[in-house]
Amino acid sequence: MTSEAAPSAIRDFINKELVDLGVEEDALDADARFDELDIDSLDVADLMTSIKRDYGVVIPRRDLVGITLGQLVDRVVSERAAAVQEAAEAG
Amino acid sequence: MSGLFTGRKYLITGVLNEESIAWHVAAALQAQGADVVLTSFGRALRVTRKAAALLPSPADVLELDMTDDTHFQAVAEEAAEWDRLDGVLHSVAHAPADALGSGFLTTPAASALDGFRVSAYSLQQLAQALAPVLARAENGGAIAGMTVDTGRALPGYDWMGVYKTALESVAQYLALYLGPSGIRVNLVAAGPVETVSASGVSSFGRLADHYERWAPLGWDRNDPSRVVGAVLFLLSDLARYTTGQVLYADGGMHAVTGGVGVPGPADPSGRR
Repeated sequence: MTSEAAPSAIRDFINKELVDLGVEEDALDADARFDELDIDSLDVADLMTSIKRDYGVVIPRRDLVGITLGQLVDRVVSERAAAVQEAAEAG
Repeated sequence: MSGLFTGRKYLITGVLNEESIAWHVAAALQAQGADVVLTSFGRALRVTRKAAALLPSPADVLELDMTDDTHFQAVAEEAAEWDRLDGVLHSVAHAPADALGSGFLTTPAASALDGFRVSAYSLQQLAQALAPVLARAENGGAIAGMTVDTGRALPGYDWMGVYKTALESVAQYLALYLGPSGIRVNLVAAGPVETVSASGVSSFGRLADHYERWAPLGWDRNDPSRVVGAVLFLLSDLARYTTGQVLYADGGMHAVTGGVGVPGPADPSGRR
C-alpha cells in the first residue's frame, strides 16, 4: 500500500494493468464500460488482486456491473482515502 | 487445543485470488503456525502469485495443471524433498460453460466428460502423487477436498453437481485404499461462497439468496471464513480417526426444507 494515490496515478495504473491483460489502448476511455472490455473473469480477478496489492482496496465483483472505467478510478481513489484514514486512526 | 498446526506443512490447491476459499484456508493455517505451499497453472498462475503475496506470509506457488500427468510427477518429486507434508487441500473444479446453467439436457458428451477430470479424477492423481510423503506424517496425512450439497439437484450447478457426487465417491475409495497408510480423505460441503468460480454459475445469486434466507444458522455468501473451520478440523489431528466423511459447512441448509417456515426474517448480512 505504498503506491502513489493521486487519481491520475491510479488511472494510469489501472490502464497499464488492462493493457497487460490484452485490452487495446484505444478502448481505455473514462466512459468505457468495464464489463464491455474484452476481458474475462480471470482477467478481472487479476486486476482486482493488483489493486488490492498496490492500493489495499477491495472492490466487490458485483459493484463492477455497469461501472465505467472513470467510475472505477473514482471508487479506488475514495476507498483508498478511507483506508488510509482508517489506518491512521488505528495507528 | 493450541498448537494443532505449529510446524506443520500443507499443500493448498485452488487459490486464485483473495476470494478463494483455499486462500482463506491458507491464511488461517499460516496464522496457526503452519507452512503452506500453493499450486496454480496457466493464466491463473500470475493471479495466484499476487494472491500468495497477500497472505500473512508470502507462499511459494508450484505449477500444477490438473490435466497434465507430468505436472503431478513434478509435484511428487518436489514434495519428496520436503522434510514433511501433513496435509493437502484439493479445492479445484472445472466445468465447460455448456455443462452449467440449466442446459443439462443438451450438454454434449465431450463437455460433460471434460469437467470430470479436473473436478473429480484429479483428487486421485493428487492423492497418488503425494501419498508417499503424506504416509510419513507422524499423525497421519490428511487430504481434504471441497464439495457442495449433492443430496439434491441444485438448479444451474448441473454437471458440476454430477462431478461433485463423483468426487465424494473418489474420496471414499481413496479412504479405503490410503487408510492403511495412515492417510485420511474427507470433504467439506460448502454453502454458496461468492468467488470467481461461482461467477460461472448463472443461478448462483438465487441459490445464495435461498441459503441466506433459509439456512438455520444463517449464511453469508461473502464470508468464506464460515467454511474454513470445517476444513481446518479435517486437516488437523482432531480428525485423526475420521475418513471418507463429508462435513457440511452450509449453515445447516442441507438438513432442512427451505421455503416453508421458521428460519426467518431475511437479513442482508446473513447473520442472526
